[in-house]
Amino acid sequence: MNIHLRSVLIATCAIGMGAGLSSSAISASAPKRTIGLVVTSWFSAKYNTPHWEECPEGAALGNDELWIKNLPQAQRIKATAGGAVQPVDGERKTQAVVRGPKGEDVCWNPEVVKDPPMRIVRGKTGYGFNLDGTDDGRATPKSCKHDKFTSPEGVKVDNQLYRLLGCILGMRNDAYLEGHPNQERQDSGKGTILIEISDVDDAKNDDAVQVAFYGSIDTLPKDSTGKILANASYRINDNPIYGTKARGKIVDGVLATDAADVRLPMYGNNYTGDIPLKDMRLNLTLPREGKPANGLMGGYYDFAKWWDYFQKIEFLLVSNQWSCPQVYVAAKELRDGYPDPQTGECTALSTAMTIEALPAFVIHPDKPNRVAANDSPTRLAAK
Amino acid sequence: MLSRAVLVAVSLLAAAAQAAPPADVTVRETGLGARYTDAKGKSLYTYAKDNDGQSLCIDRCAQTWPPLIAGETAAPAGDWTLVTRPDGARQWAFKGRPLYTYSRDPAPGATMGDGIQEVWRLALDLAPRPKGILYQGTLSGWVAATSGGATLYVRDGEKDSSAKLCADTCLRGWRPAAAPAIANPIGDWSVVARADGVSQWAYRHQPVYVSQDDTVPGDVNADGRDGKWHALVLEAAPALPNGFKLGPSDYGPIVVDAQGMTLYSIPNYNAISKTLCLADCLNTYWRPVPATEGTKPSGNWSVMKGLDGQPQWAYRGELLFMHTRDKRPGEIEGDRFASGTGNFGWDVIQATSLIGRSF
Repeated sequence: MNIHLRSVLIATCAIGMGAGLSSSAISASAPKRTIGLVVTSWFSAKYNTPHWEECPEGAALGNDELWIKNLPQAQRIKATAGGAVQPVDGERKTQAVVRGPKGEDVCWNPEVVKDPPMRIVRGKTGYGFNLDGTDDGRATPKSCKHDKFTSPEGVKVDNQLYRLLGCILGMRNDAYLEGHPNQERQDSGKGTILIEISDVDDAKNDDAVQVAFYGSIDTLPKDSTGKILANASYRINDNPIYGTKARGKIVDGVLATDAADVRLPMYGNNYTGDIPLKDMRLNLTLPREGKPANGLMGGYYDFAKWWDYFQKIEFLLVSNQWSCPQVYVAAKELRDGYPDPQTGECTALSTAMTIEALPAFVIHPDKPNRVAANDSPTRLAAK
Repeated sequence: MLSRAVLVAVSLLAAAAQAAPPADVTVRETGLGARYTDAKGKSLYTYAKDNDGQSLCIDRCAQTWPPLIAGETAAPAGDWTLVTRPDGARQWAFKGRPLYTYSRDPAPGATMGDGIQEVWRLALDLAPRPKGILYQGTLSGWVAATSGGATLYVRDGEKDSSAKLCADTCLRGWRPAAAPAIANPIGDWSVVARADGVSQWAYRHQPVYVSQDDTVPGDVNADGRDGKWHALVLEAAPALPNGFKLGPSDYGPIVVDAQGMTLYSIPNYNAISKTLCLADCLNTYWRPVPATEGTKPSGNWSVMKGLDGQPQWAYRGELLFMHTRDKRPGEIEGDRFASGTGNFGWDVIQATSLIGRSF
């Protein structure tokens, strides 16, 4: 059945925030249902320890540290006002980034200077999926040789983006570059990801469902305490790059998708764009007992696309401490997915993100909306 | 007798003030009021630093802002007067303000000079309007808005005399543009007393509304909603050039080519971005938007000589490019390319961005 049509005919999220859902709640002849979810927060999945054990070399060096180190003595004294560190908004911010030999911006021309190797994650534990299917990270037709992490559950997993960024001060869990964009998305509604699970016979156990990913044009409604409300309606973004789909199944209320190439809307740190994830997997515990859905999404992030984002947040590098040339060189070395057929060099970085989502109505504006006002996801779940 | 003489004198003075504009000036009546252009249709501007009866824009300034020179036989009439420039030439002035064109305006309808350095303003005689109504420049033209910048909309067929105004379910996603309780009609604007007790502004007898889908000034997200809601455009901008249209993106509608591929402009390429995108970078990532022979400029859209010397489309004087990594409609890979710590590089052209000055 056409997913768009079905979603408006039913548009009934079978999952409730306020009530649990058992398979017996749905009769064998019940029509297939659609579960709508809005992603209310997501963060890159990083295994950060309080004392940085995974970063034995310390925090990654900042661009301005490398800049000041290479200045002649006289200039260094002048630039640091006799040794004191300048405020972030001083000359340090504007000058440190154009430290190429001809004044080039080193984020947009990362190969014009040669920095010392970057301090990356050396720990063995990480979150993610076993994307290449190996336990040792050997090269396969779909991957390049790389090191694996072991998840806290003991599974070998891939997450080279965490290995790359896990020791950058501003990219640690709860640091600015993680928390701020998430808050921006929650406040503005930009970059909101909608997940629509269709062909659902049984919201607790179903061996064949379809999962589609959209962007939204609506903001996330909040209550008077600032908490995002469940069961709100979200119209999908008409950008044709979205709407990618994956097959999946639900086991004991946990959705797991097969691998699929998807694109997800992205907003944060003044960046508007999208995240293309190849070989994406989603493992999501669906909402139950009043708790939102939560889980892990992973896949291969196209390197060029990721670097494009990273270049465009250059204006944040002084306060968050990284060096573009260091990150660029290290990222190229750490690429582990999708070898270029000509060069053999990999073109993508494995990654994973933790996500949290609430039940929602996913509205397709090109179809008439026939959802009755009292057909809230919570009410339907209670039926 | 005396009072009648005074009345007659006032009437004569008023008639003189409203004298027809000179032959060097064309008047266009728009929703904003009377807009003045030169005989070729180029927008006229005033300069806030000019003193009455004297132009302070000379030498290099006058090259950028050519004065509107009067013909040899020109004579002042009403609000239209003549000022003598330092070189002896006579320049038209309206209500004491000398008039200029802007050399970078590429075509009739262009308004690129409006708001420059906050001292150059379009020459127009604003029609009376309520204090709480703002005019904002967008890609579609001058749009009416609340003082907070929320775009105003009208609904097809609805009049202030309609027996039933938009209410209840019709108002989902909409809010009447509220007028103060003691508001009086002024010019084309009137006040509607709604059944729900709200005083609502109406423009030319059409009640006006704001949309909940608009979040920042310049948004026109609800334009065309249900085929009957339309943004209140007081002066439409010239149409997009042939081959360009609006397409969907993560920013909402943006300007794309006929195939739906995103177009980009970069403010001040040479001054700002040379250290960010050198020649190789330019050739690798950017493809000029070529202008074919016979292409005509339209409004703020013009044809300029590209970096390769070939004719290239430009928007508001900035060359247009396509990004080589955009492969599908809706992709905006080039947006903010070469943004640095002090600038934001290449930009998509959003339908909802504010253009120029709001007043």
